[in-house]
Amino acid sequence: MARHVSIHRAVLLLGAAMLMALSMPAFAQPSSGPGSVGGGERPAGSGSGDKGTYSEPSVRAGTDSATAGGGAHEFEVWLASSREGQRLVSVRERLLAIATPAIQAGVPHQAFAARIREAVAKGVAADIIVQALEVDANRWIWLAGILKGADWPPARSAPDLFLGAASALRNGITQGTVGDVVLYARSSGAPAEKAGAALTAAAAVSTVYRVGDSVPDVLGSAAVLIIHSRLKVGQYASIADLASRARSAGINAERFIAAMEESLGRGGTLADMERSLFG
Amino acid sequence: MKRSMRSRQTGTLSTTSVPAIHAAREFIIARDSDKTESNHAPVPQPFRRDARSTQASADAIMARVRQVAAEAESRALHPARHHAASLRVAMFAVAAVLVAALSSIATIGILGASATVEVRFVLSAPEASSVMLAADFNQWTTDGYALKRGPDGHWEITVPLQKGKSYAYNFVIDGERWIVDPSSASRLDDGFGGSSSSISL
Repeated sequence: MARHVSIHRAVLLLGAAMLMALSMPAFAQPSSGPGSVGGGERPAGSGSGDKGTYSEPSVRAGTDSATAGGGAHEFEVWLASSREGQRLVSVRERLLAIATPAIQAGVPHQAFAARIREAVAKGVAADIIVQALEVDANRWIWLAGILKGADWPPARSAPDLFLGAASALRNGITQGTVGDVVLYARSSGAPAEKAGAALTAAAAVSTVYRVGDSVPDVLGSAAVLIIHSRLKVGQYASIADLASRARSAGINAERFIAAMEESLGRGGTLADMERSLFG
Repeated sequence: MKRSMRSRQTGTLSTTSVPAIHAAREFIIARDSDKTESNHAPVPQPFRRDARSTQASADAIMARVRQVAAEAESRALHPARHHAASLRVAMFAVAAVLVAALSSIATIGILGASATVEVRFVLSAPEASSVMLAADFNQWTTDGYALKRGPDGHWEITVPLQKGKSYAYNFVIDGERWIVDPSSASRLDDGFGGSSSSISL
């Protein structure tokens, strides 16, 4: 019987070890730094363009005060040592004043760094960067509040979600829609990158139908339809292409959303949507 | 025991193939028709048995019979030990299935997550002296992301990118003019007074 028990334990240990191995992020990739949103590999033959040395991101999207505090410190260190930070010495304190409470609220510091990198690369004036980040920070704090206490999204994909949400909110998607998409993705266990991509695609559709600063209200459901659809993320950008063609053909936003509901909303494909739009 | 062995041999004969039965029947007919010759006639193939091999077969059969009997006796005397052995086999089978299933899941997860695609970015700019690609996947630095000019004024670069997410990018012409991708409808306000293109993979 003792032998039986030891074998039983061995099997249980084996199972536990395998479950632990699986629970580890098998596909975690090292980030290129606080500003990295990941995913890209350097093309063949390219030089080393990255600058500065950074530690591995350690914050998660939740509001763990210890790690969030660490994130604020990491951001401060990055701002003091990076090329981008050197360019923004004049507004450094303002940037820290904006970012620190947001990071402590659960916003990944990589999102701030990514936005600063983009702005500096584009030659944007320091004051405009501060204003833009202030707007982003308020939106991100709201999003962090939605995600408070949750284990989702994972730390490595949180910046993508926050950047995608900010982009969507900037381009005519309402907070209600962003919240719906994020909560759906969280409850269904969808990758955060997918939620970010759905929001970005919906924002692109909104941009197609945008008139001045006004976006038709009906387009608010586009993001939810996209993330509920059976489309792969790689097909999301094609929806904006269809929107552009539809608008050129005189199809209004209401008709476009109706076509989305008839096709993608019922598990259909892009081809179904195209037929629904253009016959 | 001898009786049971004999019955097994009889059973073997009953399942002998049809040509063997025919041969046996011919042998009996020949023997009955001419008893003198039949006494000296060679024994047909199905009945020609080597004495040693026959004994070996019998011994093997008896050994197996004794083993089966011993096992039955052991089961009757030590039911717990037998149960433990059966459980051990079952648990090893379950563990093997678990290992195989989890390994498959892990492999699929790794393959799916690490899948990358080669993305070719193309811009038609015959008058440009240089075209660079700046994007979130290269932290908006253009170093190492120069597009190569083709003979028809098209510039292009191929970049391996991870699937399952969207990316923002711009082309930078002559090192100073940032433009969106004119061939893409996915254009977004970047919040800094400009726009970026987006691509989903």
